[in-house]
Amino acid sequence: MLVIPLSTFTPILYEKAYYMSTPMTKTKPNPIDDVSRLIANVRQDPLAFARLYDLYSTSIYRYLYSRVGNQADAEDLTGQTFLTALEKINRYRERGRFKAWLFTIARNKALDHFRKKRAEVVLDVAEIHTGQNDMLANLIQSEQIQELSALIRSLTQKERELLRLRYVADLSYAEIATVLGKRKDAVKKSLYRLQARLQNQLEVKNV
Amino acid sequence: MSDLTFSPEFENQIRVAMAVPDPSSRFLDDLRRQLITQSEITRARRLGIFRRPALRRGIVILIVMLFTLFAVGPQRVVAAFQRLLGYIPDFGLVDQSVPIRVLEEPVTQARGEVTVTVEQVFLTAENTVLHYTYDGVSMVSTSEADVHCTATPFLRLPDGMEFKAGMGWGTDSDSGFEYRFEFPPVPIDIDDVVFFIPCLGSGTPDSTLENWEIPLHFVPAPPEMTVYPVIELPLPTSTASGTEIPAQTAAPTPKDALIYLTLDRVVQLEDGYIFYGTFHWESDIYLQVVPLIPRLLDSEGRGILVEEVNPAYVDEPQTHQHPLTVRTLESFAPGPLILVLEEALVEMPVDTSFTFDAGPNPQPGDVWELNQEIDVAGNSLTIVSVSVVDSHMGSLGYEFKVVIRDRVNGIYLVDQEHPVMGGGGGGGGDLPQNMQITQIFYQNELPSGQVTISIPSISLKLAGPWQVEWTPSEDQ
Repeated sequence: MLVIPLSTFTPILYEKAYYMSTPMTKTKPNPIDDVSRLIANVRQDPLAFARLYDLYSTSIYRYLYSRVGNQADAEDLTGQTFLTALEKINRYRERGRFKAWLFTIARNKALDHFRKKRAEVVLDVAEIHTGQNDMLANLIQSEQIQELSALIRSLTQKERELLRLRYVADLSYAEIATVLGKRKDAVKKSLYRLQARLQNQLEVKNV
Repeated sequence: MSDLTFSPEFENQIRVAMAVPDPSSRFLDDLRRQLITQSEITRARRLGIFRRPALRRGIVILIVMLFTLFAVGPQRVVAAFQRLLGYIPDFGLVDQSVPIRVLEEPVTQARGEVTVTVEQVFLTAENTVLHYTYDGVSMVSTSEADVHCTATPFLRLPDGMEFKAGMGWGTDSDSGFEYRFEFPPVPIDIDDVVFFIPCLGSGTPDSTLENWEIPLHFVPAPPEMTVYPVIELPLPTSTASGTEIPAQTAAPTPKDALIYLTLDRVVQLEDGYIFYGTFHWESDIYLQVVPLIPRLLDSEGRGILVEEVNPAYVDEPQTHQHPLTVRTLESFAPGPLILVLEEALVEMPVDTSFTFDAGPNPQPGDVWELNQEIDVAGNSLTIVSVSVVDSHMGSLGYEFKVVIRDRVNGIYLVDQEHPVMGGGGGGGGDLPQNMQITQIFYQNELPSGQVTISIPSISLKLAGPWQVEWTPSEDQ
């Protein structure tokens, strides 16, 4: 047994000197925020969870909207996702994959939703509200994008999910692998094959 | 996989083809407020759920210390106690004066593509901690027929007795998923048990995923097992209760409200330290005190990246302590290290109320501009307005806009005279600075006439810093 000599210990007591005048306020997400630090803060004070929410709320909503195809259900499931994440965050072990962990919860919420509804909505391009973004609307109107949308809608549920996690949720290959319980290489290969197939089908159509 | 080259242009086309609208700012703000309210509930829940195990650990340590005190005398108690505790990675602090057993070797079972490995087991007089991983199983359902496993594993002893898993957590690992569970202590004379996993992950129920039985054999911990030394630190002598706090704030500061931070022990790792500290408050005037934003500064004043090793839970609230454990994540300059807490939130009980006249028939859209000044424990607040709001879940409620000032972090509003469905509140977003919103929804019809709203507690933000300085000796 290693005997360690006692170290110098200098207690410095700082009594509360004054109260901060800053009330509970929302701060805009800072791109340099370190997620690990945020999670550590949340474990100490759940109120800090709002910062994590600021970082991921939009992408979670967009992913869920892509799954359910309507605003009301997407909002409901987004709320469920973050409430569950808040409740379970102490079970999350920091490995730099918080986003994947969060999307796993969102995905489970969507699956529970479909179990109740008994049918999955395939999001149709026509349902997209593009009033806020004219450029996007113009692009969607383009013939090639419409053909691509039709091809995506014809994919299997698993294939669409793969694309959704990558291009709607903006997850990395490693994060998708975590969500789907697969290896990163397998995910990358599947996406590559899927894209190649879509590209090929588009070319055939255009010919 | 470097040969898999994706076309950025085609990827952008896919993004556009799958585009969906962004959420409305109204929705995001509403949900944010709801989460802040739920955060408060979560924090309060922690106080209740986790206090018992923590107290037990505290009592065990106290007994060991007392025993050591009588055995070796007070002068050498610290030195003797430091010989008792060690730190094992992935396990925590262990009493080395009693035998520790471990799994003889990792045990792996495979069924098709699914493999389960029990990586390690630590057995002490206090508990059994089992760490296992599995691969080839999805954690998420892919069809409606899938079943998500919620059953917890257990240990089966030779006499048939079963120890169910207690606290535990799970996460993704590099190759699949890993879990760690605590079980009751396995009797010292039992070296063979069966680890039983009722089911794994999600999927169509079948024999591949169900009823895993993995025999485990335990042996005494090898002498070469890594056990990091724990440096026990004496409590500072200047922490006696009743120390007067300089009144540097306009609001009254109770004499016995001393709040301080102590550094209790330090674990010396190969590449850094783990600091075990405690945040103390010596008064009943606070319902709880939650330290925020721990930082570590080296001798050059540089902030060192740290993480909390374990979630900090309060022991029994009456102990007035909040443990804090942080681990260094990067190198630091030689010399003194300073553990700093920048802020703390305190919740203080108060007994204040205000009344407004909702009229005979309040309806959604009704707004009453009150601009009523009230004093809450020496803090001036303004009840700006009350309005009727619809929860969109079949209930109506009142929304209160309150201006909070100075050290106030938030207030809690309740209607103690009518059954409520729920509510919540918070600030920020598009609200003016210093304004907080609270919503109270009712089970039955909306109260009319004179409505009295109580304020049972107030949340205050205390600015530190509270800090302790520790200097590693030269051979550390």
